[in-house]
Amino acid sequence: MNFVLKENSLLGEKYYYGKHSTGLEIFVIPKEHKQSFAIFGTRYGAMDRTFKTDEEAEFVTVPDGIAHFLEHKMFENEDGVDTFSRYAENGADANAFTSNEMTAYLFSSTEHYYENLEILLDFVTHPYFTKETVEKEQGIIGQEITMYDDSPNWSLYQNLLSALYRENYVKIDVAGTVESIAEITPEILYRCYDTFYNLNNMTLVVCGRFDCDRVAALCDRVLKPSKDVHVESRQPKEPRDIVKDEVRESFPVAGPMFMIGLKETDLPEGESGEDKLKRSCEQEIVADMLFGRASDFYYELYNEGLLNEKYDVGYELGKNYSHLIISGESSNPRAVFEAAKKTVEKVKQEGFELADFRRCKKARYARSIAGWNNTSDISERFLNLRFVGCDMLTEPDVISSVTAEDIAARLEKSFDTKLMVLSVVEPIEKE
Amino acid sequence: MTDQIKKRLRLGDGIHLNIIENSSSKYNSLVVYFIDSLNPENASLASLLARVLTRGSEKYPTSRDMSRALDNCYSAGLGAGTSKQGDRLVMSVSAVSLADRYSLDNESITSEIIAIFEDVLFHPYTENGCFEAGRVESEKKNAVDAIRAVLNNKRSYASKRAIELMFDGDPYSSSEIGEEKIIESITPEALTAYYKKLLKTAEIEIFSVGQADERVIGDSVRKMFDGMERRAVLPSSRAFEPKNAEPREITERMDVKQGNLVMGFTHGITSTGSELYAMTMCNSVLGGSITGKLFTVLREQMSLCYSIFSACNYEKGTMMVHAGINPTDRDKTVRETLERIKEIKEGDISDKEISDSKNDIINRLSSFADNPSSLPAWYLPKVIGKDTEKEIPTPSFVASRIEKITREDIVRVAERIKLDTVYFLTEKEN
Repeated sequence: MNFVLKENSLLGEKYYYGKHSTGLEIFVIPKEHKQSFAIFGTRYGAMDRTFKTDEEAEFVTVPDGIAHFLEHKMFENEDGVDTFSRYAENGADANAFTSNEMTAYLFSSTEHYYENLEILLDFVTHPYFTKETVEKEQGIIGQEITMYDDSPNWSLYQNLLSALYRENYVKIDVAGTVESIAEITPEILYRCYDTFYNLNNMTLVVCGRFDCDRVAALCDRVLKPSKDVHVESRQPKEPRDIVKDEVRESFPVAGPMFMIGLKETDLPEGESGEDKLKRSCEQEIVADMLFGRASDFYYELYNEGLLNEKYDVGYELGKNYSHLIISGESSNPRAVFEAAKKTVEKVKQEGFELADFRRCKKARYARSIAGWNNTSDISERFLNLRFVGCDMLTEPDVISSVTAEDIAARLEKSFDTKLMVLSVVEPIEKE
Repeated sequence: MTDQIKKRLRLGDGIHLNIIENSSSKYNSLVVYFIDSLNPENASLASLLARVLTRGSEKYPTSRDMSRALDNCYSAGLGAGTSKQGDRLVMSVSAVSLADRYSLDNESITSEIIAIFEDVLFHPYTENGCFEAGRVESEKKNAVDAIRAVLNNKRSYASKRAIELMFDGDPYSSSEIGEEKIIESITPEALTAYYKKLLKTAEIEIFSVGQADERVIGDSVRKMFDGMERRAVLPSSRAFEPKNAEPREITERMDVKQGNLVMGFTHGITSTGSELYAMTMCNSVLGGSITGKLFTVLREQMSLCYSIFSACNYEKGTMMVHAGINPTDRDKTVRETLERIKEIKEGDISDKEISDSKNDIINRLSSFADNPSSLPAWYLPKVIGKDTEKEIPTPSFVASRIEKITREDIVRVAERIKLDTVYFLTEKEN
C-alpha cells in the first residue's frame, strides 16, 4: 500500500494518506505524544434514513435512531465477550459517537496501540445482532433518550433546528424516540450495516506513534475487501425560508435560556472542500465580529443585564447545511433576538472596522493551531472535516488568506435576518 | 517527564510557585489559587470577587477592552472561579495562551498575557479605592442567577442537594458558589475588604505549565508577588464524621421524566492515609470505569440506566454513586448497588476486573503529559503544605502504587464503606 505525505511546515504538522486494497482510506498522523489515538468512522448518521445502493431498485426508509442504535450494538460480539472488556486488557480508553452524518469508534492508549487498533478494526467489521440483544439495548437507549428529554439545552437545540429547517434531516434527533427504536429488529440493523459499513464508505485516522507500514500490514491481516458499491442517501431539498421565527418550551429551569439560529442557504453546488472550509472560516470570523465576547453587541447587552457569562457563538457545518448558533441565558430573549437582527442590518449597511476584522481573524487563526494540541482533538476534528470534504492541515493557511473583501461579501451573501430563528426554554408558569 | 513539577519555589509567606515544563504543548498556562476556609460567607464573597476581577482592570477597564486584548493575544483565555477541596474554598484565576513560536510577527505572547494577568490580579478596576458599585451590582445578579441555574442540569442539581443533605452541619455542605441572600447583601466595600484579605492571608499556590522559560516565569511571577504584606493562614480540613445511625432517605419531586439517584457513602479514607490507593482501586472496580460492576451489571446486564458511576472524595473520606434511572427503578437500583458493594466486601472480584481497573487508572494517569493544562487541578491537593517538589507524588508514582494493590487490599478497604444517605430526584406524584 502506498502512502502519500502531506505537510504544513508553518504549522509544523503532517500526515500520510493512502487507500487500502479493501477500499478503506487511511490517514496516519505521526506525533510523539504519550497517548496514541485511533478513530474509525463511517459516513452514516441520523440523516441517512432513506437510501438504496446501486444494486437495489427501491429506496427504503428506516426508523429513526438506527445509526445510533447500531453504534451501541457494535460493542457486543458473537463470542459473548464485550469489546470494552477486550480493550480494558490493553489499558485502552474507548468510546464511540453518532452524529447526524457519521458514526465513529475510537480509542486512546499509551501502550499496546497496535493490539487496540486490531480490536477496533475487528469488532467494527464483525456485526452481531439478535432479538435478545436488541431488546436489552432498547432499555438502555430508552434511558439515554429520557435523560436528553429532561435536558433544557437539548430541547433548545432540537426546537431551533425544527424551526430553522423545513425538510433538511439535520433536525432529526440522533437517538430517535422511544417509539421509533421499538421498531428496530436485527434484520433492519443488518441491512443498514451492510449498506453503510462498507469500507469504501469509511475512513481510519490514527494519530500518535503509529508507523504507516505496520498499520497497512494490520489492515491486510484483519480487513476483508468491500465491494465498491455506491450508496445513495436521499436528502430532501431545503426551501430557502424558515418554518417560524420563534419557538418556546417550558421546563423546570431557573430562568429563560435561548438559542438564536441563522441558516445559510443557496449553498453552492459541487463546492470543493477548500471552498467549503474557506466559507466556514469566513462565517466564523463574521460571527465573532458581530456577536463575539469582544463585540459591541455582547458588551451592550451584558451591561443592560440582558446577557451574562454563559454565552457562546458557534457554527455548525454539514454536507448540505450550515448555520450559526448564538446561545445564552437572558431575562428577555426576544430583546436579544431583535438586537441581533439589528446588529446584522447595521453592519451590512454601515460596514465594519478593519481592526475588528484583523482581531477576529487573528483569534480564529490561533484556534486553528490550538486544534493540533493532542492526539484525540486532532483525530476527531480531522475526521469530521474529512467527512465534509475538508483538509484540517490547510486550515491555518485558509484563514490567513481571508481578506476584508471576502468578509464583506460573506456578510452580504450569508447573513439574511429573514433566516433567523429564536428558540427559548423558559420556566414553567406557576399555577 | 513532562507531567512532573520541575521546581517548587517559595515566593513568600504562604506563597508557592510550581513550575511544570512541557515541550510538546502548544499552550502555556498560568493559574493562581487562593485558598481560604469554606463557609457560605467566604464562598459568596469569592464567587463574586472572581466575576468582578475579570470584568475589568486598570489598563482594560471594560470587559470589551479585556476581550479585545485577549483576542489580539492570539485568542488567549482568562478565567476565574471557585471550587472546594474538603473544608477549603479555592478561588482560581487562570490564563491560557498559545506558545510564542506561533506568533506571526515575533510577538512575545507570553509577556503580553502575563502583563494582562498581573493587571487583572493586582490592579482591578476601582473607584475611590473600592470596586465600582455598578459592576458589583450587575455581577451580584449574575452570581445569583448562576446559583439558581444549577437547577437546569438535573444531574448537577441532584448532586448538589445530596451533598447539602448528607453533609448538613459539616463545612463541606456549603456550595462553592455561595448563597443568594448573602451575595445580595455584599457591598463594594465588603468585597474590596475580602479581596485585600485574600491577598494578605490566603494560602497561595501558583502553577505555570508549558514551554515558558523557567527563569522568565519565575522572575515575572516573583515580581508580581514581591513586597506583599503577608500573614498566611492555611485552613484546616477534616474527614466527614457521620451522624446517622441508619441511612437517611430523601425524595424530591419535580417535572422530570428521568429519576436522578445519588447514594452517599462514608469510608473515612483520606489522601493523607495509607489506604488511598487501595480505595482508588476499590472505587474503580465498583463504578469508576466502564469495566466496573455498576456499568457491566446495572447498565449492560440489567438495562437499568444509561449513566451510572461512583466517585470518591479523599478530603472528606466519602463516596457517591450517581445513576440516571426510570422513576420506578429506584429501589431496585439501590438494592443492586448495595449488592455489588457486598460482592466486593466478600472478595467476589475476578483477576480480570482488578487488572482492567489498574490498566484504566494507569492509562488515565499517563494522559496528563499530553493534556498538561489539567495538571494544576490534579496537583493542587497534593502540593498544599509541602516544601519541595521532591515530596509531591507524581502521576507515575501514583501509577506505581496502584500497580501493587491486591484483592486483599480492596476487600480490606471495602469493609469501611457504609451507606449514609440516599437522595432521589424524581417525577411528580400524579
